Amino acid sequence: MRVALFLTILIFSTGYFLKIENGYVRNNLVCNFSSQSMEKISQNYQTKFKQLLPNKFPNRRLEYLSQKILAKPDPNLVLTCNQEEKKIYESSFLFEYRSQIYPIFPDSFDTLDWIAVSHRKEGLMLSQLEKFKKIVIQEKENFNAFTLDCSMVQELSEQVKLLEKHLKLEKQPRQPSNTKSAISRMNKNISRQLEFAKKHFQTNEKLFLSKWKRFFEFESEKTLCPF
Amino acid sequence: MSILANLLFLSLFSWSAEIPKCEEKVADEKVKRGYAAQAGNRTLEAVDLYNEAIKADPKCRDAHYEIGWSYWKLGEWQKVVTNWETTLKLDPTHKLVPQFMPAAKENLRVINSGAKTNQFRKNVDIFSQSLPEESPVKLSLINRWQSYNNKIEIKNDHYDQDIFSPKSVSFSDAGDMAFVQSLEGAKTLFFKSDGSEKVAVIKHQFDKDAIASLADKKPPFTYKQDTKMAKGFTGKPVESIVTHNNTYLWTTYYRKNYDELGQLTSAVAVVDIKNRKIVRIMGTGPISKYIEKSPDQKWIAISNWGDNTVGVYDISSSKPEEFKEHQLLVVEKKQSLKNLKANRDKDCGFCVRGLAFSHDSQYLFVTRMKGGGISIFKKDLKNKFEFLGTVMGLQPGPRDIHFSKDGKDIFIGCNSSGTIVKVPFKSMIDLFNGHVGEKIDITGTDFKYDKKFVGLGVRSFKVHPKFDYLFLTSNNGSEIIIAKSTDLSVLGRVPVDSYPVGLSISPDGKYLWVTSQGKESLGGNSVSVFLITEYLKNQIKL
Repeated sequence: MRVALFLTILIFSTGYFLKIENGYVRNNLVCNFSSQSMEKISQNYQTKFKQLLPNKFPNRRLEYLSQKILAKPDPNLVLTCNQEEKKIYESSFLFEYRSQIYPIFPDSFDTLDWIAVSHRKEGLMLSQLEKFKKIVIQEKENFNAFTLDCSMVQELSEQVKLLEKHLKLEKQPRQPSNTKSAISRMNKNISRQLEFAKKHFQTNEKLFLSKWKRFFEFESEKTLCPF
Repeated sequence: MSILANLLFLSLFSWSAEIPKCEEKVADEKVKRGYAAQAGNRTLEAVDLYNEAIKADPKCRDAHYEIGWSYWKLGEWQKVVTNWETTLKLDPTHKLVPQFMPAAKENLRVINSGAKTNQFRKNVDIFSQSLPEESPVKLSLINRWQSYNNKIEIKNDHYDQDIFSPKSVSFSDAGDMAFVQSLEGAKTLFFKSDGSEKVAVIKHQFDKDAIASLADKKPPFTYKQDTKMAKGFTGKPVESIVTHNNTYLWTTYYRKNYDELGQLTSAVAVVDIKNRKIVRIMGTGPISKYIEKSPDQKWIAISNWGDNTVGVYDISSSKPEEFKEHQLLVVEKKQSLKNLKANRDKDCGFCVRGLAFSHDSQYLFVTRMKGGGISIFKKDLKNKFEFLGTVMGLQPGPRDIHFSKDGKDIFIGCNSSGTIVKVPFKSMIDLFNGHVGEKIDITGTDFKYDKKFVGLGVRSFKVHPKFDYLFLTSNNGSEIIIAKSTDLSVLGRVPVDSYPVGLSISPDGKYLWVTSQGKESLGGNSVSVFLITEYLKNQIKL
């Protein structure tokens, strides 16, 4: 009877230990992965933001934006969203496990599947992977939204630049008698169009700042690990 | 108007007015959410929420008033007026509606002003802008090339005698150049795509040596040899298209200079864009007009206005000497070239003109301007284009035809009725299931399609490559019309020198070019370059 009781306790304890241990190892793996992923995503936001600003974007404005939005801008950060770099990376030896170090792109899921297979697709692992997948999808959506918004601000800025470039009044030396009224009419037209475009740009820039400032503040407070 | 625009900005962006409310609980919640959505510039979401509020409480005054502002933002003036009229009915003492209603009605009048006939314009102000000012998309006249006024006031108005009855314009694939066909000048003019500079001139005049080295020796398809051609000719360029990844510009000739009645074969010139010279002259049917390439880049189709035919050419090779005639498509019956009347603009059989290939390059649509009808040809497994049938009743005189960006719908414009139709591509094809080769009249049937009047004399039109807009020329109204490609409603208009015929949009969607030809010795000789700016899609969504 005592032996049977001892054996039962031993089996349950071993089982419990193995469950906890394995769970810990796997959870830790996912947890670390997730945590790195979030840092990388955050870095990418910063890099992408700088990358998407127009070439001649005023330095002072960039500095202002960085202070307002970007938590820790790093000027030496590698441009991980650069297409050429991505191509080089895809041909590299570690590509199979790419999403562990390159986590925000859709191929993250390949690696998640690989993790699941290597751990014999146990229930706990799969359920954690599901949670993580949701996070990756959400992050990917956020990243895409951010990219789109950046492009939008860039496009609006270019729209204003184009208008400024083309709506420029250059008079000819010889002018007919009715020039004065024609020129003043043109001037009025130009200022009205530029004013509209600039206001639209400024409004959207303001919206962009407030939207992503809120987002980054929220992100910094969020628990990074799904557990 | 500018004060009003400022007020609009204040009301739409700053959103500091009184929070709206409804009596009914659900409606109250919806109207408040709609208000917040509009404050965040999420106009479409705001419209949905306001509509839900109105559905829950049709007597909610504030919902009708606020949705009016959202429609204002979308440029839907009829809906602005309707909703504000309802607001006034619900509350005759409403203070704000009477303030803004006149501007909304004026904007509605501007966009509905297409019924005007033969509006003559000349020397339209450079930098003029499309109206209404609050439209979500705007056109600004930034450059003009003309040959009617050499006393120019500003540098953007370029006097250039090469502009002589400009018929059409097209763009390079890269979007860096625009090509204008100066019909009576017998020249193709190369410009920078923003219209700031003319970079080259191609002359379509050939002496006997040029003919010997460039022109095909045999007549095209089954046509008779044009014996006069060997001595040389001058071609009147009418339409053009770029192929082989920006390498060749194909320019059709309306007719040869000596062929007054358009009874003989005409020709198409293949221009080497990089070297700016003509490298081959191929034969076409009489009075060649529109030219279109298949999306798979293997075929060129040219409509022959003069005899109810469409020539299809195999351009799958990259070498001009290997381009070859493939098939001559006959639309019902080939028009006899005997006993022709002097006016070939009207004596032209079905007057075949517009061409459009489906996105899969399997179907070719041909418009028949006289008598109406869209004839469809289907490519079989042996690359032969077989006649599928003709759809009647869509437009009285269809001219231009273009596919939507996704290839699911077809837009067809009509010069005489001033209407544009939008037809699902699949529905058109399905009409011929079990009816191959037939003429099907959809008048009086339940065949579903959209049709809207936009302005008299609709000539060329184009689909914007990025945004959901159509840009159309109104020849009689001397205007460019901006319409939504989704529901064909008109969003704005801009005056242009009389009388606009050709129109093209740069591949990046930034520039719109319009060619104006004269009519009855009035107007013409003008090419206008507009900058397109978009404010609705280019907006941060919260």
